[in-house]
Amino acid sequence: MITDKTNKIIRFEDGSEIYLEDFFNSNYLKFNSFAFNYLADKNECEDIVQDVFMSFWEQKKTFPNLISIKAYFYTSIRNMCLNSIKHDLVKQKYFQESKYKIESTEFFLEGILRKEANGIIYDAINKLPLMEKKVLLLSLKECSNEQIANELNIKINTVKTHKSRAYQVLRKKLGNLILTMITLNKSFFYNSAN
Amino acid sequence: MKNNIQKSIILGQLIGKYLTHSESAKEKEVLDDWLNEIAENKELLHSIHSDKNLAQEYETMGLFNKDQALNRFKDRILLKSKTRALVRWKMAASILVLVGISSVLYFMPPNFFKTPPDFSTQHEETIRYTSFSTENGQSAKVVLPDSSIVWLNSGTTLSYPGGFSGQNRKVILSGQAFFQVTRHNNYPFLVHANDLIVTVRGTKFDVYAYPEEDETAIALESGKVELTHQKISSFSYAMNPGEKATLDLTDNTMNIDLIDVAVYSSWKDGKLIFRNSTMGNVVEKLKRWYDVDIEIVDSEVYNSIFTGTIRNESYEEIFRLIGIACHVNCKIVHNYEQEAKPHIIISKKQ
Repeated sequence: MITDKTNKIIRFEDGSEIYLEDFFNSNYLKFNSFAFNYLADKNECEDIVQDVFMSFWEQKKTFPNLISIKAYFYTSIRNMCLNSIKHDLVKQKYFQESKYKIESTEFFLEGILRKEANGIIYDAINKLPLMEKKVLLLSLKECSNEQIANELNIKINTVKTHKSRAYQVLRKKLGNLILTMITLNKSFFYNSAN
Repeated sequence: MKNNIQKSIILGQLIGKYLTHSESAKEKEVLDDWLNEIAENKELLHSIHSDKNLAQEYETMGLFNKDQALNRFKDRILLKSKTRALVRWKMAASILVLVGISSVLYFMPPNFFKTPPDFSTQHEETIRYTSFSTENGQSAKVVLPDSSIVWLNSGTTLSYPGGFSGQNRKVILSGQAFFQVTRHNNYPFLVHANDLIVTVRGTKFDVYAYPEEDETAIALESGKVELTHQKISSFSYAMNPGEKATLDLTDNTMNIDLIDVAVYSSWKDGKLIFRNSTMGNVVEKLKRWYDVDIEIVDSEVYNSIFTGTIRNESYEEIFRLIGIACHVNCKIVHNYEQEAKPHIIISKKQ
């Protein structure tokens, strides 16, 4: 079952499989970014994610599918973060926000959803050629074409070309979805979580 | 709960795919259904898609180093596999070591534990000073003749008059050092730090006494130390473990705080830990730690508070992190031609 100690194959109940190293590579940043929702200390986030990977490696349980492994990771990371906050209150990132919010199921579930979405977007942005990526990131920071041209030392027209190519991988407008702005303080999971 | 977690993962992936034009027709349908469930779902999608959120998430992900972490993970797995095999051998070996130690103690000559001979130059009139110094950006560990250990933080000088010995244990400190003092009931260990004198029997403590700063601080990890003042003879304080005594040199007032000394003196293990530290404090420490110049242009920056652990990150990484965590701009200016120190300019975010 184990081909190499450092690169274990994870087999699922449905017969599919994945290398632990591949799973690490495609989820590590996401998991840390998720832990960073709870803790302000970047190194502590990395220690926690590292420890969860270690205990995953050591345990022998089989999972039905990939999603259930991710659920295991998110749950363990959250528990360890909350534990760490409990032991040292000053570590809490948003000490101005209520402890209640950080411990809430809504905060947890929305964090997972956001990180899963942003993980895919992060990979898509990183696949872009260097210049397109730079132009896109500056444009996301609300820099004008002129500012981007100055910053990167290129022509405004070149900025426009890079921008239009970059936006082929990133949706510029939210299509035909009708937006109704509602400013209720309810989380979207409010209905399903209760 | 378990189902909700899986739902979040699946929906998050759908949103990610939708925003990168890679969703299938079937997936779009599922997403549409979810969006029509309640209005808050649409709001959430818009908030994920906002330029500000996308830029911020990209920056946050970039804080972490995947390749370094993967190597660490592999090392830990290898170590663990080896440890498992070693456990049985260790148990056998530890018994042998115990037997070994007791026989060494038994056969040791009775004067073995006495201190090494005095190596001062007794015939000379002037007192010779021996000193150890670290530059900014360096740290060092020194073992004194009485086998006490001293860790020197950056920009620190520890000196002692030639006659340091088991009987005369007196050192002078300028900078920050952590002391692990060997116990000698009859001969106290003395640390002179600015005007403060720390009298020790055998213990672990941290002394912070940079001459250019307005305060001198002693933090006691274990044991007992006594503080006296060179100029104020009536002053005396016996410290308890876990206390940090800070002497304000401008008005000679003393403050006692309860702190986690292990965290406070973590610099000796190559770590710098900040827990809700003020920017003024962070800047002073980072200047010496990295040997860089730091300039703060807006006084609002001093209101920022930073929490974080610095292990072996480059200063570029740390200032990027501080920029994100404290919402300030950190600009790094290199001056390669004049071989000057890197100059970091911190300003408030517009």
